[in-house]
Amino acid sequence: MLVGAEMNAEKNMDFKGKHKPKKRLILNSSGKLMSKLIPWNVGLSIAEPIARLFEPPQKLVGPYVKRGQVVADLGCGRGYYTLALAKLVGADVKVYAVDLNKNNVRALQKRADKAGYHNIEAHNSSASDLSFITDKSVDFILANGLL
Amino acid sequence: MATDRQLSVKEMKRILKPDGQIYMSLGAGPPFGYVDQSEWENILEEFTIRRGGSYQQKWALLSLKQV
Repeated sequence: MLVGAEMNAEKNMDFKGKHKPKKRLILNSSGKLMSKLIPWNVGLSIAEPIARLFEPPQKLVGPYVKRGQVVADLGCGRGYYTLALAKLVGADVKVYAVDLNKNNVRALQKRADKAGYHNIEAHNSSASDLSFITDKSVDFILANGLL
Repeated sequence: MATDRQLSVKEMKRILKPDGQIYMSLGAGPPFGYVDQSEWENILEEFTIRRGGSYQQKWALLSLKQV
């Protein structure tokens, strides 16, 4: 449902000509360019439901995160794990989400608002500068594919 | 260890509670990723390994070393 809505929203934006989504270069296994035409966010919208089938986010983070814990998702992307973390820790606990890509952070904020998670604090930053998080304040850090 | 990754690890250690945990994984090894086996091992040396940790697995559950 979310995917469809996002895609429609993107189509509308295209149609109205407000802005064109950025294109994502996709390489196949031999390194050749397969397509320059798929907008990055549409590509991810298609990929996420497939990923959800094989690696549900709760399966990875569920065993390590308890209700009430402060968590940080470094390299959060569009929030594939962040939303699951926000659900696990509860509405009154902070979830830090950090990504270097501004578009990812914007998409995450949009998704979090839509899903009603107001405990997510998203930052457009490198993991090498987490100055907005105080010392010894986080119970669990997810750095999945960050390095 | 590349400077940016070194700083990232330092920041993780700074913000983590003494009894906190880190789930760390690599996207891919060289040439598609950046972290080779020796760098992975150097990173892990900074922590106590709770689970995983081999370069083949490319993930580890870590906690801070108790002083």
